[in-house]
Amino acid sequence: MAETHDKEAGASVEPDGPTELPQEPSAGSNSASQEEVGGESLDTNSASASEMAGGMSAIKGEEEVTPEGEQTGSAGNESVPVEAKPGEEASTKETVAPEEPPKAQAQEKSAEEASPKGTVAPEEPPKALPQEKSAEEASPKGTIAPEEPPKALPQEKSAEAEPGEEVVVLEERKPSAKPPVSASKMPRKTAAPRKRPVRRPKKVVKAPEKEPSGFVRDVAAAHSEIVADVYNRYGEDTIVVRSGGYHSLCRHLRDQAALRFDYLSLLTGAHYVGTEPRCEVVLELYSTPYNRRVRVKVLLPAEAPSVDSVADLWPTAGWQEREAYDMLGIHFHGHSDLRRILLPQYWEGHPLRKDYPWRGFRERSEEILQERLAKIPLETETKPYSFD
Amino acid sequence: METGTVGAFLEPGEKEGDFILNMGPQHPATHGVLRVILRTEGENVVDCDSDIGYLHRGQEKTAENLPYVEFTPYTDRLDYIAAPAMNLTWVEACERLLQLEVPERAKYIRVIIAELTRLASHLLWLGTHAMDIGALTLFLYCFREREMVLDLFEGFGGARLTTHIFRVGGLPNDLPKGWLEDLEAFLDLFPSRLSDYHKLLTKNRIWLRRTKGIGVVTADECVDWGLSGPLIRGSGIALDLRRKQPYEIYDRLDFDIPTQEEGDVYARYLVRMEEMNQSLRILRQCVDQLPSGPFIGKVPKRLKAPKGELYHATESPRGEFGFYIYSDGGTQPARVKIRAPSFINLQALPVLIRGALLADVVAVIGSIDIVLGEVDR
Repeated sequence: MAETHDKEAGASVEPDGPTELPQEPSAGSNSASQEEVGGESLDTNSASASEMAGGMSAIKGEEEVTPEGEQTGSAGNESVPVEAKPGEEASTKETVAPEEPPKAQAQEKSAEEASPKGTVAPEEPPKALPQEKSAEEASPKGTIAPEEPPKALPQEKSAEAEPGEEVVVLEERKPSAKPPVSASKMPRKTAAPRKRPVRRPKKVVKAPEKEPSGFVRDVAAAHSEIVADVYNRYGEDTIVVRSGGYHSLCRHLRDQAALRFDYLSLLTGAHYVGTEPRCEVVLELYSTPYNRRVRVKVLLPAEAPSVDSVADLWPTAGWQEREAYDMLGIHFHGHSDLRRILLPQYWEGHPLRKDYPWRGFRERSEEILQERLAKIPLETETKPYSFD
Repeated sequence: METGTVGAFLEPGEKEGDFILNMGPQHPATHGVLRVILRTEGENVVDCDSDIGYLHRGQEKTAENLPYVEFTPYTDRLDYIAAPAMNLTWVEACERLLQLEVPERAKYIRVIIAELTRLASHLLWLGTHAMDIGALTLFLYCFREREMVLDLFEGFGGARLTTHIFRVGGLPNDLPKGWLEDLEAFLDLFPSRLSDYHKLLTKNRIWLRRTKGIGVVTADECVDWGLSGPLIRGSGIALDLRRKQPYEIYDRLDFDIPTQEEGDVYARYLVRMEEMNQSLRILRQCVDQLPSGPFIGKVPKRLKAPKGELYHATESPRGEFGFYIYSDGGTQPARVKIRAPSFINLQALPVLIRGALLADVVAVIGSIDIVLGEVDR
């Protein structure tokens, strides 16, 4: 499985590359501004470090990277940064000098790519020229110059990048596992590509889907007015039900002789970002006579989510619904004892909702506790003893 | 004090002699920080309510904010008596979600560790449960043997209690040299020790009087209340996920699912004792069949799960332990729900305890075998 996963991931990246091109110019301009400030030396360092860190899938990364990275470098980045850089670059490059020849090859590629872009964006060709000048300072570098801007880009991107993007960058670095010597060259090539894959989310391996089991389809057919969806992922049947028919469907699943889902393994809620509706209640049902499972889902709005309680069907739902109420604020109609269960009764908020921060509520909760405790009168007051 | 401020309270009854008794959270027989509020009539317990959450650490929220692999050590802290069982469930759930394959050798070693975990967990349960009821002798004997199991954990994974002993995709390392010999020495020794325990307790008249007919739960109640593990098997239902929905290599192994019909504390005691015996059988088979090969499969550096959800459950020493994971396609799960058997089983305490004598409450709680790290998460 792992192999397929890798392959698909790699494959997914390549097609994304071309689509990303339009975004490049903006990135280039950003990079240019930063470069002027003077971060080239840093850039090279970071690039080399990244190369060092990454060890693994060199082939994939390079393949993916080269077309995209070169393009970016040639297109937007070089124009501005080159002017400021020449002196700095020369110094850094001189130390690196032995490495340059291989760079030249890469640069050539970039130059080739640059030419087509020139047609696309009229602005770019003039930019390319200044870069060449800088390159002239170091004879081989003429080719190199275009490469350097891409280095700057990765840094900028990493700084700006979202957490998810950074992760991708790490992967990309790994591919360029070439020896540290080539650091100056390699980072340039690899650096630009790293950023690009980040922008477009990779196509992820899909969860294995199957046709739902027969009994699930039967249920869906018999209750088509309340069943919203039926699917089977990871070999697990799921019935998505509208909140109105939730309780009756649960009763049907439990009592129907051919179903007999008499054992409630799990009841929980969830609160998501980016889905609509945002809340849901999930039931994992198990049938002891037939030894099979089914999942029932109810989608609920994030505003005051509420649904019928199933504690009358499965008593074990009692505490689990209390926990769902405690953690997610989902209200269960007909529950006899809907109190908080894990958190103290005075707690404010529902921690598993996505708008509740992972950290940082501690101080506030302590304040609340102290306020509450201050209101409670002491039952006995000790009198000071007198020894007269 | 306004009601509900600190927890649950039961209204005292009308009858004379009704009494509200608070037990815990620092009571040694609650095996952690469980607070039970008992309503009694004389010495009979009429009703009870549990106040939990003293050990709540927000494990589910933590899981939603960490990459899949990085949550593995946190699972040690759920059921800290049987940490490898928690690790196993999590890494298996992740492997299913990420569609990774585990080498054969790793599967066998996982089962070896998982069954050793069952032994260690049941040994601790036996020692403390017997001590709660008054058989102090057994406690040190059980810990003597448990120490040997923990030494095996330490030899393999480097840690004794919170082991972090499995990895997504396989194992952190292969078996060290001499480890299997140590294991076999333990397997040779342990049956005689197990028979010693039987001699001390199984036909002990005091033990029988304290456990027989106490905390009875019927098979129907077990299903209704979602009980699992030795509780449901002690009531006559052979529900064991190792057999019903096999994972790893349990479908290739030959072992029995011990059950008892009575559903009382004594039945659960016999079930657990026999489970230790069956674990020994499984261990011997695994040692005999252990294949060679790699100990970890191919795992991508960055784990990104496809969009979708799954529920993966295994048979932990305490029952059905499962993770419900919902992935939105990112590197971190969007929702993780922990199905903790202790939490579900503890919920049925009022059913088990109703009508019992006050002194039996300790025996009943011990027979549920709760771990508060798992109850409160």
